[in-house]
Amino acid sequence: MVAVDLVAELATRGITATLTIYGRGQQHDELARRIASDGLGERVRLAGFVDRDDLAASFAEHDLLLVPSSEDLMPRVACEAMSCGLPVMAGTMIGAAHALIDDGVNGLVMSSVDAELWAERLAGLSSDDWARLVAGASARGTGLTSARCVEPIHAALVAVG
Amino acid sequence: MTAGATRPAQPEVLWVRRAPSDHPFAALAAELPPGISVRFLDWDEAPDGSKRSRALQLAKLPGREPIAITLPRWSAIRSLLTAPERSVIVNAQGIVCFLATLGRLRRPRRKVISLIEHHPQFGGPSIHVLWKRPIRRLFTVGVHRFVANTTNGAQWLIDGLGVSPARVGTGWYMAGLPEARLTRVVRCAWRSSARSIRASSRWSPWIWSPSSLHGESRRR
Repeated sequence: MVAVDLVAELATRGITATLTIYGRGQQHDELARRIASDGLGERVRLAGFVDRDDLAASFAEHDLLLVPSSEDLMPRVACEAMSCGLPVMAGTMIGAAHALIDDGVNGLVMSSVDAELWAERLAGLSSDDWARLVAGASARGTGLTSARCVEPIHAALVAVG
Repeated sequence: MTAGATRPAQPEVLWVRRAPSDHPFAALAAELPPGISVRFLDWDEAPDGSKRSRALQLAKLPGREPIAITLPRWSAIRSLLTAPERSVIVNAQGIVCFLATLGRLRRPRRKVISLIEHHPQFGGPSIHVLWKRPIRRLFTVGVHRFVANTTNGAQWLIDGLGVSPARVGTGWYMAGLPEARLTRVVRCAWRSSARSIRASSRWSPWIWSPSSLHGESRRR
């Protein structure tokens, strides 16, 4: 719901943003009602589940991944997005936030999940800021290949004999 | 050549994961050196989609995810206890990890490796249940080696659960999309971003909600 609030908040600042929400959760019907009642149908799309094979293409269609969860240990989608060079915006309540995202370099880390704060941050980004975020996300993503990430696990297997 | 010198017919590593949708682990397993064969055991959801666990809700707090534990069903427990593999990798720290270590009673040479994603303080209200920490501390006893994805995760093991630092390895293991898809997408993402930046204030956020995947993980 925060993301929908974000789109509405950006609109009040004269910024046109489109939002795609993937998956299907308990809030789906509530979200659908909210989108309809606020007239956000052209800006917010409930896309349902995306097939794993289409995940990469979905990332490519967007410019930013939002993870507005209030709690999550390590959202894999953030790693997947980063490996595709997509910047990630998340709150500090996300475990991966500080481990994966270097604020202002490859994504945006926010102190709270608040639509107004997030809108303010996004509205203040210049073209150079965006370019830096994408370059940073692409650079971080190169460290997230399976070949690299298996190394600590292989080391553990060797260590236990 | 003696029989003992031949490579065993069964896989060498059992990788215990929640469900087949934990696809990063399949990609990781494929990157292990040749000769290390891996078999996956899905303790929550079988490859055919059937449930192999039962969720037990302990409490429900207003506005938050319920406090619950997920217990594997007997078929998953039996598979875990009787697995013939010598090394077991468990992407869990709770009851499933404990069951993996219990398997050592049947197979004393079994080595158990536990993967820790991050400090569990981010995992929701369940972690704050008082009895969880002493139980988890007990569960760590039979684990030979931990791999912490982050330094925070390692710190939790050492300070929070009293694990010896010698048993903890730290290294980022949470992979992104498989490399085969990567090149194409990075190229597309660059193009997409450049277009949006030129359009100044026009861009397209993308949202994902982790709670939206519960019970539907295969469809992702």
